[in-house]
Amino acid sequence: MWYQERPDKSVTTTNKGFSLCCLKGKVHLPLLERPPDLLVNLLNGSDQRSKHYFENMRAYNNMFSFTSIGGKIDNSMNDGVGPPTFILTGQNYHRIGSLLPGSGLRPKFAQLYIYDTNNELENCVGHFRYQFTNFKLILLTMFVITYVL
Amino acid sequence: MIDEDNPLAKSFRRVRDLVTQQPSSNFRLKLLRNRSKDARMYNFPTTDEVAALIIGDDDSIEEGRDIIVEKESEGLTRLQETHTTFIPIQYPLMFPYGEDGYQEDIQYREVEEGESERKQKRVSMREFIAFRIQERSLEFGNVVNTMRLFQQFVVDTYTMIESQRLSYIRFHQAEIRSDVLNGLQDAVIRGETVATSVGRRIILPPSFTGGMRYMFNKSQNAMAVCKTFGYPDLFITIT
Repeated sequence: MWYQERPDKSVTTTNKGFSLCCLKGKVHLPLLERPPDLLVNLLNGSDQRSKHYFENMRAYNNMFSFTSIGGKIDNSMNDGVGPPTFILTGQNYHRIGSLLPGSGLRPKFAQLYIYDTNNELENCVGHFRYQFTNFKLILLTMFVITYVL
Repeated sequence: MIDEDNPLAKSFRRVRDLVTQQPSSNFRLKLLRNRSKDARMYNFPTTDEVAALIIGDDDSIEEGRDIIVEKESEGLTRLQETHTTFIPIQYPLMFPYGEDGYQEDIQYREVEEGESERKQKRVSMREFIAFRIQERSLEFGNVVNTMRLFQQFVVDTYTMIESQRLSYIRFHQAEIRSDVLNGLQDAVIRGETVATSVGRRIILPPSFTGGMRYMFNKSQNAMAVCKTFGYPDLFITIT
């Protein structure tokens, strides 16, 4: 952390404790482990695949998450002008569906792990809102294969 | 990868195996809240700690504060934001090993300084999240370096904090109201609303940022400042 973030700004000291992150050591939690190699490569890499992954991180996360976000997501600000913004309105809660999809419905969220797993790839990708060009679709497919199977 | 590392995924896969073997049997999945180990030392749950598979029609199972996912049901079940798996179940890419989220009974660490007895002994949700979203050289940065997903994470976790604050206020109305009713500033508002209001009102104390009383306080302060120093020429807001 930066020196300017020290808790007692009136004192100039070299022995500074920080309170923003851990209340001067009172909050002590286990640190996160290094993620699996595939994620490390995607996050560190600079090739086309990582770039695509970075741009669609939220979509990828939604493909694997077990619950759905209950708030309304306002995308009107993301019109290409300015940095991407995430706006959430309304009451927010995370909800989980039943273990199996109802008859005639497509599996979503946690059901993807259970129902019709032979066609898991298609089911996952089918929830994408955007149309991918062929090239990107191939990348996507590669990703899903290495990740899930 | 996710099948091997993530205990949540593993327990859902276990359900899949059951479905393929005995499609007609009835079962439910119970997402467990309690962990037997100290949350300050361990946060890698095993599959057995995360979820339990219940087979059969037994309806007598106590749900308690765990979450039960039905085999087939209408609508969706809501997860409380204090549930241990609340964060990793929504963000499997940030927490690939299903690391535990916030728990209510994480204790503060004892700091050497001879501090007086604190009232608060447990880590709050805000402190937990503040700890997680720091960039550290010891960590890979799986949470912070995820760009737009991190954006979503921050917004989402803030709503967790706020809804926890709100529920605290809801369950501590008795303590808040006695304080509020004595306040002078509420006499005006009370005069307008008492006659028409039916049912129970939840009063947001002025300490809740963004609430009505909070805004009221701030605007009164601003007026007082104007009275002493005269009206301002510039009005600048900083967010």
